[in-house]
Amino acid sequence: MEDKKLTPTDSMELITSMIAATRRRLSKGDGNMLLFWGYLCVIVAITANVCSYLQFAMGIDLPIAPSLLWWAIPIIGIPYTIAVNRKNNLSRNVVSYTDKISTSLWEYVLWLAVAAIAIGLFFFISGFQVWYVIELFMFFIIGMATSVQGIIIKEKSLIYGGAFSVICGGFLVAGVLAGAYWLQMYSSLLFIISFIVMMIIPGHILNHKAKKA
Amino acid sequence: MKELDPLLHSQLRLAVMSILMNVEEADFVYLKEKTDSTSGNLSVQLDKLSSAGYIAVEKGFAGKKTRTVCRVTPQGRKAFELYVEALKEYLNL
Repeated sequence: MEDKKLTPTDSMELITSMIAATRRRLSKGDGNMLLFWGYLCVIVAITANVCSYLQFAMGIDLPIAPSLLWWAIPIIGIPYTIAVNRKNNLSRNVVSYTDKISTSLWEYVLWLAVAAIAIGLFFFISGFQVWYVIELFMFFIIGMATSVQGIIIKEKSLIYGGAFSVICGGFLVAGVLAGAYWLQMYSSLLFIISFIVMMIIPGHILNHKAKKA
Repeated sequence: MKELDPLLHSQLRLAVMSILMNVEEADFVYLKEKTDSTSGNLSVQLDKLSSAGYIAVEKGFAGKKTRTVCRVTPQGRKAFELYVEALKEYLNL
């Protein structure tokens, strides 16, 4: 491109063409972070439940308490996400408004996750088991954030997946408040289904669309 | 009829401003690729836009490589909007 003078028509055409050139398109690997979190949460939930079954139903002694396995989610997930984001930021040539909003949204969710863990720990130290706070966080906050992410990037599977998680959380809370405590036994199953619907399926859909784009 | 801002009324500077109006920030490599310009020419035009206060240029490192990141300033945004308004008048839009 030369630094030549323009007519008003040239200018308008140039502006339009540059706007079109910067339009964000799906790129390979866009669904990878969703897949990572989705599979991590599902694998940890299944492992923790299998270990609980082995220990409490079959009477097999395990070297670790099954409830501690849930900590694998933040311990593996948070450092991995920070490292990947740092690497992506270094190699990224352009930051769109969509990127900026998405990054801020998930940073906000991360801080809320830290707050939920801190609340759980505070009560645990005080002698109360309130880990369901973290579970509710997973259903409601992550569900809402996933739907918002779907609205931002116009991906319906994310919008519906996030809404599904929020509805599961609502169902669980309403059931327990209504005295149906047996529902708590199925909370892990709901958790697994939620993460499959909210992250794994949309993650594969996004990667498939990116491959076709 | 409003006068077209001479700083924006040049092909490469207008292309750079159009890109930066559409993104949060873009680096030198991206601008060079999208505008299909030479490094020397692009550097000169970025300096002119930066001196006028239309863009902010931040020089840093991406790993071991140097990286120049550009973003439009509120003053640049205003100037671009006025430029588009003036263009509309010229084109009777």
